[in-house]
Amino acid sequence: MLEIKNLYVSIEKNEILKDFSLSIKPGEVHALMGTNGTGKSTLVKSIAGHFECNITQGKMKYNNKNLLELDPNERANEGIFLSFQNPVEIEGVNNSYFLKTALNAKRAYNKEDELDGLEFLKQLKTKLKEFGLDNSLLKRDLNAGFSGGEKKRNELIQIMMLSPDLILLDEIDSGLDIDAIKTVAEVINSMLDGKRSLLMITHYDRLLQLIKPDFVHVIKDGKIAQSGDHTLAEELDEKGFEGLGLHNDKNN
Amino acid sequence: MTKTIKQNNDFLYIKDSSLKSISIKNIKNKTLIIINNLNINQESNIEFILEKNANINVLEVFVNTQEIQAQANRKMTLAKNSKLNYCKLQIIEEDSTLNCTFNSDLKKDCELSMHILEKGSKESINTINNDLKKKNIKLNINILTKLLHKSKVQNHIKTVHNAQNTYSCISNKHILDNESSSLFAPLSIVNRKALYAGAYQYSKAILLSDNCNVKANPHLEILIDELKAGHGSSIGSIDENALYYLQSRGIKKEDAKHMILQAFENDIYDNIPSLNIQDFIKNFSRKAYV
Repeated sequence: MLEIKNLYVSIEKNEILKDFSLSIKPGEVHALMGTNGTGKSTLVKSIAGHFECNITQGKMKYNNKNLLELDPNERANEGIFLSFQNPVEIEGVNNSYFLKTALNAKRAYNKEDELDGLEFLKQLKTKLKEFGLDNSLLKRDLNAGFSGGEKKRNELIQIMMLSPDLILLDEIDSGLDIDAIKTVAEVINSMLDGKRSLLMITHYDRLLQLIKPDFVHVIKDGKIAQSGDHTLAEELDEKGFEGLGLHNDKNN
Repeated sequence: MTKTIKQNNDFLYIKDSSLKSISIKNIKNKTLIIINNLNINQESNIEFILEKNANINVLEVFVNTQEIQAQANRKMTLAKNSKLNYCKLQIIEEDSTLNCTFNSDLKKDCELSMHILEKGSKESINTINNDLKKKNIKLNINILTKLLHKSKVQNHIKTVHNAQNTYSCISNKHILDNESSSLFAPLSIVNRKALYAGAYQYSKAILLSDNCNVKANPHLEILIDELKAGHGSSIGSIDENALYYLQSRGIKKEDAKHMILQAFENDIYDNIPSLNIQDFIKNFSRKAYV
């Protein structure tokens, strides 16, 4: 599904990812861990085509398409969804209108008929009901004045509605209480159907207990320093990055 | 000619300058829409007279079919406890100039709300003068300046607070493209008699090209300590993070840009107190009147 080879990425002339490689197959769940500043967010932003990320070398293929040739909206419509650590607040853009526009953009990309307002609301209500989420966020402007938890909940609603094939979660658990983390896990687990893949960045073992990763990778100095199964996360939780010698050199 | 507006008379189409005065009596929550199709060198003078406790929403549209050098003078005379929600929508094309002057005579406890929407005008100057000389007068002026090509718009707004508990908020949002330019020059004076006044001025601009320019000169002259006042100004391009967020959800860059600009504009439209006027503006087509 996703093949990253020897990737070098800079942000404002600082080289963040260096010779980074990773392969994600359909249905796999990967967790990305590492100390602050190692390049975890830069990796997921690069996959989603963020304007700050300057890719200087390497290859990124998604379903055999060269990702580097696709605009951010094309990547999204191909099935890549990045859930942001701090989703942007956009005043004046109604959340429900935005979501309908995004959904119809994807349908148009896939040469499907647009959903009318009624059908959209019907689908939305069904999804929200499934996970006990209320629709009050949809009546407000996009993320405007949302609390941290509301922003993350809004990202989940988008994931449910847009049904991406590759979900990238950038610290979706940060700032969430235990119940909210459970809801995140419930939604994400329900979407993992054996074909859909997940790459999640987290600092905490709690989310990984609820969403079991097939692979855990630790990034150090811009590339994967160690990979393993979920037991690696448990070991990290017990000993810390320093205990396993995986502390970023820059932070020492 | 003086026209008196009755309850069932809510649409005026003016093609000449014969109408000198509009008198509005005993009307509450009424919407009046006036379409001005201006002639060459036309001078248009209208006085809106609201009697005690009257409450009306007025939308005045300015369009043209040929090159014009026009002048429009408006006077708002508001009796005690009356309320006028005035909205001006200007879509002037061709190589034209329109100068508008707004003066007022405001009595105690009245409220004047103005929305000035400037689109596509080649050259336009709005001069708005308000003397708040009676207690508890409330004045809100919201201006949207959305320009293309080499259009130029100037807004000179003088507000003088001369009585207790008077309030004014003057705000201008600008969306400028190509080589257009916009000047926002509000002057609010709070004199010694105007205890507990509120005086605010704001300007927000989005610049879409390197060659357009905006000048915002908020100016407050305050002679007392017992008041609330504030001013602010921001100028920038479209927020790249907002643009990227929308793109990352599958929306094309051009559509995302349009959504963000529409949101910036909608903030002004949504604050127009009359839903009838909001609807009329949303569905307005210049072609229908020229």
